[in-house]
Amino acid sequence: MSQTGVQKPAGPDKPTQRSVGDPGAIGDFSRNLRTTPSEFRESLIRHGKPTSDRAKSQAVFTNFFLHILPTRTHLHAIKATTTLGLGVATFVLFVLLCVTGILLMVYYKPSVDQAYASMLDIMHVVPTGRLIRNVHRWAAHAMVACVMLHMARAFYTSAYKRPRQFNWVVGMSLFVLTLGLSFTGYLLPWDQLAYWAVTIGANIAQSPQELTDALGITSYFDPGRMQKELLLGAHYVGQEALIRFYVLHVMVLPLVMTILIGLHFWRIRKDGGLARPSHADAASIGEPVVSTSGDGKPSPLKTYGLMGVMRGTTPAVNREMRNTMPTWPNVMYVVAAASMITVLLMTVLGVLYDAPLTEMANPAVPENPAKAPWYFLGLQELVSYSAFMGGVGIPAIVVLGLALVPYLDREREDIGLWFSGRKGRRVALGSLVLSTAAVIGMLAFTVNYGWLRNWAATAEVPQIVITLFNPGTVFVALFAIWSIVVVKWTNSTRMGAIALFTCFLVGFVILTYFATVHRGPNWNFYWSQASWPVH
Amino acid sequence: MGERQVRLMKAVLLVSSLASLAVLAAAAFQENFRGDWRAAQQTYRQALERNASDAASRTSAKAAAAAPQQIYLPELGIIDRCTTCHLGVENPTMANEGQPLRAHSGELLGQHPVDKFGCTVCHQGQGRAVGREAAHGWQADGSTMPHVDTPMLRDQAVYTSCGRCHHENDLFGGEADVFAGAGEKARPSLDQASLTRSLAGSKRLARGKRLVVESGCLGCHQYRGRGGALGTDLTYVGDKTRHDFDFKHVKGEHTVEQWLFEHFKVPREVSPGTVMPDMGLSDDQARDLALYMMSLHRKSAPASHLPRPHVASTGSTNAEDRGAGPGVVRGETLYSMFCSSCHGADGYGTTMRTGLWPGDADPWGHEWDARSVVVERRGEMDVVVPSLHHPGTLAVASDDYLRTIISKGRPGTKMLAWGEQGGLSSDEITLLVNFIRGWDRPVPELASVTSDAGDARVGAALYRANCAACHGTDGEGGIGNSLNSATFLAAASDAFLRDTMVHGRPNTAMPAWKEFDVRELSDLLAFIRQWQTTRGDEAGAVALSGEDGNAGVSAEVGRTLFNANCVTCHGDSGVGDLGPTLNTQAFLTAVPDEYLAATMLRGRPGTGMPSWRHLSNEDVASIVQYVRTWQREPAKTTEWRAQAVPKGDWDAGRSLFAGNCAACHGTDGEGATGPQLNNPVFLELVTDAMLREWVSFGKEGTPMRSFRKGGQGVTELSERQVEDLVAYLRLLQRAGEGELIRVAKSPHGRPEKGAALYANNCVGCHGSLGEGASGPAIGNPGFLRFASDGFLMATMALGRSGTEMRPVKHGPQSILELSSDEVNDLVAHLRSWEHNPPQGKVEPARIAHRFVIPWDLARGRRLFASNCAGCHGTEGKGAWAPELNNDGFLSAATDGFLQATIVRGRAGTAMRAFGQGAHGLTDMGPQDIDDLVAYIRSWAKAVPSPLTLPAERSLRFDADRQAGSDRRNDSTESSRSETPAEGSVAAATTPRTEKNHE
Repeated sequence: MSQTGVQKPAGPDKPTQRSVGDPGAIGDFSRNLRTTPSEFRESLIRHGKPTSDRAKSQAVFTNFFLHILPTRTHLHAIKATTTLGLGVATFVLFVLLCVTGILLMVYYKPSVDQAYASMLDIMHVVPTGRLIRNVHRWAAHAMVACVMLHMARAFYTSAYKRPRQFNWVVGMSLFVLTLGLSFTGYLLPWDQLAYWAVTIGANIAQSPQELTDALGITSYFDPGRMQKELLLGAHYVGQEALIRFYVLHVMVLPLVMTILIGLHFWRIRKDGGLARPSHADAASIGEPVVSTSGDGKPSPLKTYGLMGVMRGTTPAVNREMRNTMPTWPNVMYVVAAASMITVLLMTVLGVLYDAPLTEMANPAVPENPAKAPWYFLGLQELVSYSAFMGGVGIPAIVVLGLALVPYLDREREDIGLWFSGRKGRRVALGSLVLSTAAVIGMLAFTVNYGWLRNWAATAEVPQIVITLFNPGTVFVALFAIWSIVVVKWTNSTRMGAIALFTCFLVGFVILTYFATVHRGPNWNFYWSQASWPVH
Repeated sequence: MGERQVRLMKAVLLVSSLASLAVLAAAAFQENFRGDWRAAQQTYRQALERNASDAASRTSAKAAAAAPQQIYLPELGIIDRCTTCHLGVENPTMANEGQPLRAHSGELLGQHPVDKFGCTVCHQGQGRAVGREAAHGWQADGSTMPHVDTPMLRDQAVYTSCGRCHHENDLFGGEADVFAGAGEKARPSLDQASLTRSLAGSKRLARGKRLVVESGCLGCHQYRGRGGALGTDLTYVGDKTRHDFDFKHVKGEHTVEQWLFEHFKVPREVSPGTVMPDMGLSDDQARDLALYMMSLHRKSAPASHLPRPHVASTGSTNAEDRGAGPGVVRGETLYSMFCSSCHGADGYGTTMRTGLWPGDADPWGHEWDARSVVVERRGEMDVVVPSLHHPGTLAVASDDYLRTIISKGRPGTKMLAWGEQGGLSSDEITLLVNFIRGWDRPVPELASVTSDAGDARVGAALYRANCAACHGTDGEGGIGNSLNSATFLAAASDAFLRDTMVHGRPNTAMPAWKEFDVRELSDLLAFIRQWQTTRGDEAGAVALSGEDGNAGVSAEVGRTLFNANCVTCHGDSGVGDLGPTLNTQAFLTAVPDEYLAATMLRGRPGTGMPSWRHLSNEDVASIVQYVRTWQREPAKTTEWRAQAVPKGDWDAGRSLFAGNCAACHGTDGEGATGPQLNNPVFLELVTDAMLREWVSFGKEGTPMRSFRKGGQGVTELSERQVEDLVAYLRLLQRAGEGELIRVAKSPHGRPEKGAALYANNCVGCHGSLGEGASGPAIGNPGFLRFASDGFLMATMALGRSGTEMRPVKHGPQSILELSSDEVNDLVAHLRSWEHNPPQGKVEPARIAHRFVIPWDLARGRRLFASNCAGCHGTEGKGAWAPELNNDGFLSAATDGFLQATIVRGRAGTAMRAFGQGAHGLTDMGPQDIDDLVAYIRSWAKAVPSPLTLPAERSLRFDADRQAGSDRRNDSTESSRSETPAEGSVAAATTPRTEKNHE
């Protein structure tokens, strides 16, 4: 059937050679016309209905969009607890953001005079503009959260280990890109919230000045100022900053993001799918799945195409087959369900809650407190202790530390297991308790008693001491000491990594919470926003 | 297991997909069928149908599409979608519909078409929004929407937007900078009209504006460069948004209007620590004021939308202010705008605590007796603003002083330099000074003030209480001139003394005593005249002159007396010099003895002829006899005091006088080349017969010719005409009241020659500008206004006994040998100062007119420490009384001002009287006060001392200071007492005089 069109290449061109009974070219034409839909379908989907395993494999393999997936997927990967759908959700949010973002671009005008007005237009008169903007906003926040959760999942299931070390690094880059996208988008409404959050963010970028000032080399070497000016294109947040942020937000960062996402996905394939524990292939998991074609005959079990040469464990023929199932349509359902739930959540949020839009940006009226976007609030809290350590030092340590995790912890045991088993769970719990106590203790101490600058005896200490010795660096040092202790106790680098990661995660969560809820005007402590003094 | 997982996922997919669809459907429904504006458009269509007059319009109403409407005005940068709901805003048939359909009320849309101005230009709100709450900025519960900068202006508040384009509601000077684009620097002069003008319709704003003008807001706040510096600049206060205000203490809605309202009601609650006083405004007033403040906008609209100046300013003024008309601002208005908040609406002064009017006293309600305000709370919080509306204050403070203080301010107090910082022009300050001067008491009717009418005993009491502190208990002088000098009293007429008392003598310590009434002035004059020895009386002298046998009376004695007293002016043997010729037959035969005696004893006020009352009857009689020795012809008349009612026609006489006499005697007989005729004393003494005689036959030895028909006169008058002239002269007697100060066209004096003479002979005592030094100040207009040329001449010719003033013409006591012409030149020179004051030509610092000599600064310092420092602070640096030790004050305050203020105190403040007999805290004598003033003056750097101190006195001062500083170990003291090099005479001077040496 599929050969029909090919075998008669010149038929219609030579009507003179036809016999009497031959319907001729007209007949060909009418038949072609009749069969165009099926022909079109066939040309689009070159395999038949994916009823047989082979066809199912082809459905994945021959599809441009799906071919990044394996034709058969391990059962472990389909288990909800394996990934919690976080990677899919993150990707769907990205797609959702692209779609709503493009729609917003139609109406948005990146100029300080018109940006806010165009936001009002979008909110008030553009058909469905309000919903689209709301979804865009909530999806952006959700994506940041999902990226982090996805990273935590990957960490706790040891998914960063060989051969996936580099994909972990790619994931880190995606994490940073996500923050960058969210931050650049934050400015675009040009309202007070945006303006002052970005002002804070830009000042964080400038924070290396604290170190260079303390060293007295700012006048020769000023990376902080360079960073800030690179970001804003000026000394202040204005038209230059807006257009830079706009370009980054709608062009540069999404493009890089798309490429990296592709790389990320491709790497998953090349690195042998999702990490799974060694016992996932044990017989106890389940019976081997016997695939049948639609007519009951056994179908070819596996179709091998040119899939390249993979490092590491290659699929072992018989043993693996019984723990896999065809990707089409099974994984499709899983992925679609996760996607749809994500879309549903975003739509509901978008319908129920309007994205914030405060007064138009007014450089003359500083917000007090001016807060960065929530995911930077932990940093802002640290910046309040020391601009350099909070804005550059600690984030650099954390990002660098995370990126180096796969290279420092190379233990091969218990890959794919949450917390690498019971011992890891205990270490994580211990670290949770310890770091919670440490962070809350330090915060309580700082709020109640202040820090070096506030004490008479130490009021005159040099800036470099404050920079290096402040509540933020104290946590980090505590965390580091704790994880080294854990490494020593358990004689396992993996346990040390779990301890350190847990501590940082807890620190991030508590600081973010603390700065969001308990920091008020002048960055003073308040139990709740209700007790803020009226401005 | 895998299958189950997949089935579960299928179910999840189904459910979540359906749910998503449902949510999207709901959103679509919400989007397309709900929403405020769709409902509004629906009711509008219904209203259109209801109001439709024919079927066609009904059909078209039904068919009207539902869509958002907008007004796009790129030149204003606005998009207003208000008409999406307010569809009927320009539809007159909707006038009676409810909102949002109702047509716009009033006429304003006529001048402001919606498609040119939009809506939010006036009404504010978020024009781009179409939701009811988001567009209006007000929530359903009546509170403002969060994050809406400009909630819609409601009710009268909408008129505050007029100020974005229209200038009528601006406080002043709006038009110029709107249309000329002159910007902030342009400061057009105030005009009364713009202060009272307002746009039609904005009643609340008009009231608010009036409150600003009348409550003295600009005493603390600036508007377009005018006003005080204590408060916020109000020029563009209407452009502030709610972000610019602190709502922490605002109880009501967080809007600008509410903030302002509560701020005006309870300033200290809304802005803790503010100095803004609680003005006691009613709710309505506070609301008016709040709205007015909101209307003070920068004019930012493009020219295409600004009102054309002429169209805008005609017909739109408020009806009640239309009568004011354009014109120069009134002093009264200036006072209420800039001064009343501190000095009180009526100028009675106020007492306020910093940031708080006294809670128990209405700041505006001070009555007259508030002049004696006693500050109970002597904290540094108390600020006593002096009363201006008090004769005591106004008597002491000259116009110059007021002008200087207003213009330059009073450093050390809250008094701003209104000229330099407060933006008032010098014309405006003059208006203010004149207005304040208007509170001065009126000058009483003075004609009836004579020494004869007074009771000397009452005068003595008055003198002790008011005058003795300066003029000495016995008139011997001190701060003021000595009054008991015989020659002074002889030369000074009652009118001179009276006028000097009533008007004071500016720039000296002599205040204007307007608080004395006519009776008291007479009493004082009577008392002062008691010092003038009165020995002779006219009748007695005349009686004696007829006798020959009296031993004391003889022509010989008369000659001696004449040569001692009279030759200075009348010349040897009465040939005449400064005074008229006496030895002509025409004169001698015409005048009876009574005339001679009376003229001698009374003098002739206004001329150089003093009163010789201290001569005894015998002396007068002797002089009369001596004068008679020149007479060779028999007397023509013996008539004395038998004047009948003039027979002539004075009206005819007037034209005769103008035609024949005025050339020499002046238009009104004030004298020119010929002697003055309208002198009341002359006219009283002269008889009709004498007048007739002189007119008919002339005066021999003088240019006075005969005017009788057949004589050799220039014209020939009939007897009747002579009578007419006499009648006219008699009329002058009745009309002339005051005394003649000056000869209109003095043929004698040449001021430029007089100036040279003055420089050579007088500056030593009177100062180069007549500002006075050891001698009294004679250059000031106040003195010259009341001192006649004759008084000046007589004082020069005769000197002033009991003082350093010696006669300047040749004579036994003379120190100079000036000729008559030279005396006249000097008089002319002094007179020239009256209209051209000398201080006008030199730097203002010299105006201080100092004449207090720093004899003993150490004593002054001690007196200051014991009497003044308690309030004015050590070295006058200010405590709770104002600072004195600054150049600003010291250059404004003359020595005289200081003296008078110390002596009399300052009404309406805590400054008490310190002078002798002034019922004050202490009785300071003239020397005390002079020392004190000299000490205060010694702080001034700007005013150079005219005198160098005698070395031994400065030594005392320095030694005293040194001792004082050692004793008290006072650092400020010791820093000022840099002891000069030992043993050096030149060094033994005060620092200030040392500077002069350099």
